[in-house]
Amino acid sequence: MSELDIQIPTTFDPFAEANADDSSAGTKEYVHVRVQQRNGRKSLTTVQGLKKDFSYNKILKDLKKEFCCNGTVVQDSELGQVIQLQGDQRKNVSTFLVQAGIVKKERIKIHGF
Amino acid sequence: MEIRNLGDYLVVTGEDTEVKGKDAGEDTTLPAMSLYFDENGDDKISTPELQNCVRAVGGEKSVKEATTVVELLDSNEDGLLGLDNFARLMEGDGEEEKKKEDLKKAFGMQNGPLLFDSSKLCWPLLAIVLQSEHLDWSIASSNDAMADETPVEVKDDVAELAPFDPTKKKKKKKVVTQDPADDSVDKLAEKTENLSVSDGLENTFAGMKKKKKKPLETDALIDESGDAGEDLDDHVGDNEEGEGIVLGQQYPWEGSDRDYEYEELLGRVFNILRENNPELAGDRRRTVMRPPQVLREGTKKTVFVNFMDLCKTMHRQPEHVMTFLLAEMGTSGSLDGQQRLVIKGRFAPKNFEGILRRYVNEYVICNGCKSPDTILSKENRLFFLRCEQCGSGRSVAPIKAGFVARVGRRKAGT
Repeated sequence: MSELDIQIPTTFDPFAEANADDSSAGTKEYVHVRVQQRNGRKSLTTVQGLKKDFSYNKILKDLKKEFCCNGTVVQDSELGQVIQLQGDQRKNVSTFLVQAGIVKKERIKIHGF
Repeated sequence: MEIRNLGDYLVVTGEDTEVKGKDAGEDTTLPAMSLYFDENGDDKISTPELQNCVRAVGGEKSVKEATTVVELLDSNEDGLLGLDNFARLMEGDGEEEKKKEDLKKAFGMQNGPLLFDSSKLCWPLLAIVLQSEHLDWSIASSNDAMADETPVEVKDDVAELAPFDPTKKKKKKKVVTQDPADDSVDKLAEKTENLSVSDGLENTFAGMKKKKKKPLETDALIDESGDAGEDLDDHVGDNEEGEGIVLGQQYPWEGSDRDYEYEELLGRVFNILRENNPELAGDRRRTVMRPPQVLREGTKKTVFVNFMDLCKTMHRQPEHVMTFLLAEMGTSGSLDGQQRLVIKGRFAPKNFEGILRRYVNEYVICNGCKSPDTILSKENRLFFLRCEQCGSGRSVAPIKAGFVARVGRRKAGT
């Protein structure tokens, strides 16, 4: 569980600023959309670096519905939650994220070949 | 053949006019010039010959256009340009004006003199025309590409239409920091000599100049050249100075009171820059890299053969390039015995190209001057890019592999 999930309401949260910074850093940071090769012609798209305020599962559900592919939210020890989708959905994902207003276009970085 | 000597352009300087006196005695210039282009020796210039001579100076003119020109100049309708045609062209009066208009149309320069460079055909013909006016126009054969681009405009004054010493032509033109004082003194001497010679020719010049200059200026200049020596000298001195800087180019604002426009001034600056230090004037060399050679090893591995070569051309550590490639592709790989990069997965050369391009943009090219001559160094855990050309530096992001999903058999993992 990441530290964000547990939010204890206190009068003074020493990490409030840090967390706020983190989220603002999230706007500053890029959303990385990567592609990975699997066996054969299959591939895998990962979306990493979305803001933590978003519900990954809801986004995933819409992505899956939109692109007609399967996918999952993977919990990574360092990078937090990462969305995985089947197939090379880089273009689709970036247009979707921009259209839904989740990320600005210049904040998306598409990796891979 | 000498036609080659026609070179690219006529270059007209204002430098010396003494030779003109000598020229005045040479009435044989006209036949000589015509024969110049006459290949089959019939003292006439036919359409194919005209085309040839145009081609010799690098222009490309269709048969149709060449025919038009011949027709326009040809008064006795034999399809050939003879000496008499040129003579008529030179000597005629009212009719001549009309002819010249026609000629202009044929060369597509109704709109004024500036189109000269666009139609190279007019140069050889112009050479003929001018030769017949007892003016020794020397024709510069220059391989200077800059000269090609800048439309060489015929310079203002009658007295400045002068022969060109081939040995000093380029240098003289390039010299920008000419001492105006010196020049004008020299000119003074020369002009005064010339004045007497050129007086008789002024009328013919007027017609000729109209082709190259805007009418307004022409008039002004004719007036001035008709004036007393002092006036002329001053004027010429100014012109000289101007020419030294702008290389005989004529500016649209000359002869009018309007303000300079930004575009024009910008163009002027770039012309000056190009003439003096061509290496500074844009036209930057593109960074060229050899295309990556990619082989397939088995079905699941890709070998990047000239990986080391490319690293060397980019001046980057192979390790750095390799980590970038692998991170971008989201796979694993290693260098083999022959320093080739073996990557897991199937990739096309196109994919490598795209990734390498991104690498160069991010880690090689200098943001300021776009030169690839940069050094990547690591200071305090941060990577810095320093440009060798302009000295600017920037920090670059470290390569992060990011999330790599587990692909393959589950058993091998967890």
